[in-house]
Amino acid sequence: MAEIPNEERRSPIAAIGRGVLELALFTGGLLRFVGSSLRASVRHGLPIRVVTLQVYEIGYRSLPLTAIAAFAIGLVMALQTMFLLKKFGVMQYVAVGVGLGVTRELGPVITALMVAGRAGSGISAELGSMRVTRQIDALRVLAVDPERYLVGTRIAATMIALPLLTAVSDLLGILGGALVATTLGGVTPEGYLDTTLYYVTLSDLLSGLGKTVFFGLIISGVAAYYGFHTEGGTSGVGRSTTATVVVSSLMIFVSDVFMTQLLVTVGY
Amino acid sequence: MATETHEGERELAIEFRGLTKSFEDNHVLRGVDLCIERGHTQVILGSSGSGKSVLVSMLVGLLTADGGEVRVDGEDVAHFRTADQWQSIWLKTGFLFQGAALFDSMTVGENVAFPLRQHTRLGEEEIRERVARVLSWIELDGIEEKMPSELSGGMQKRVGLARTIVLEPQIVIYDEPTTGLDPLTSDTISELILRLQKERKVTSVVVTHDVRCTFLVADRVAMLDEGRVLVEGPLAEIRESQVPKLRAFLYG
Repeated sequence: MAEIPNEERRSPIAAIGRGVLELALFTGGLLRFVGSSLRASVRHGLPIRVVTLQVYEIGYRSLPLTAIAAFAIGLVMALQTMFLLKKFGVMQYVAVGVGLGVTRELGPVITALMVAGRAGSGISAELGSMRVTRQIDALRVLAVDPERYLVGTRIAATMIALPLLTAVSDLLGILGGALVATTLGGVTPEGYLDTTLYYVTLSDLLSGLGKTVFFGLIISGVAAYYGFHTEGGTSGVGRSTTATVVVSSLMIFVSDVFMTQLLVTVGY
Repeated sequence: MATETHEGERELAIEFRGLTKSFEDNHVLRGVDLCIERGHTQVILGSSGSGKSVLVSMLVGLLTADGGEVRVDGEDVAHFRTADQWQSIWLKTGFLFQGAALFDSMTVGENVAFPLRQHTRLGEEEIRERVARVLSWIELDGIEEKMPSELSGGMQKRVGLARTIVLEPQIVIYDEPTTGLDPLTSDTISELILRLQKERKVTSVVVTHDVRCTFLVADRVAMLDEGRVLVEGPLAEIRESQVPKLRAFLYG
């Protein structure tokens, strides 16, 4: 192949071209990897015990973190909107802002980002270490498909755990809002609850929870992909972990825009 | 269906024919021909980077050949691509990794029980007994509850061997079994290799650069050099060989 001259390598257009090419290669590799793991999992089934253990690892152990984050978001949202609503004399509507904001958007996204940071990095580091110490090869020669046993189980577990965590986040976010509204805003607890139940519908809740199933796929798929393809010993494990958090967080934001647009279009 | 292959009077378990493998410009294997007799111990000697680990990785599908044939019990596995094709080979072949590759999230007992849980329908009681028996065979009784990180390198190797042989494979491949161990621990591993071959008549393939281990376990020895088999023969002949590179390797 002909050598590319140095000036061309450095030109911005070449850099953009290289970036697009790398993105395309990454996306293709990721889709192929996740696709083949899911195929193997559907074909041969998943070990329930391992999936349960992973739901505990990924879900339950992330709960303190996501719970605190969601509660704080509820508090802050109420604080931010309260003073504006007070001006217009419609303080009771603080429950609407918090309720809709948390269930439709902030609950799912904040929970997903927290899980990407905590559990995504964990999956990536674990599989990365298993790669460099040849435990993944060991699984293979023991006639156990690592894509099913390691990847399929973690994808399934994250897709189960994330909506559950988000449901808790939604609840705690609303409670956070209620705490501020009742103590600082003079809204009665019954009033707050009534407004919430009136304005926040099941479809608001489900549209948010539905998105998190997909976020779960993104987080675990990206984490497993980077972990599985770790190279270069222990420093490679560090690189995979960082890449997992960066890439899955970005993908959560980008896919959220598209999914929200889609859900709004179809009337959710 | 696999057919048994014979070469002269020898019944062959493994054959490499014209095997080539390159990593970009690095031509690691340049046409390896080697036949391994059933029930015997074949040592593959070579310096670091001679491609001996690459060679045995192809026996279990961890790497694929660029060209040539790899036959296990007469079946050419060089063109296998899917896990389904490999399944029967994996079940009759054990592979002991250089670093033992124990699952560090599991206890020793769970590690050794793992193949039994995955591939047999044995009850828990039976699994516990089998694990205890194989741990006793490697002379490490009662360490089921320990984590791999609590074990020394030599003990990890032995537990790795226990996990490798718990399904009673017909072929056992050892990738650098004594590397990084002190001479006494190395001898313990060599004795286990020898004992396994004698008691269970397994075909053993030992990849090593450890001369002491070679002299202890080998029936036949092949030396890899520059991507080909430089010399191959029974241990007694190899000891007396006048090939300069081999002599330098064996006797310094």
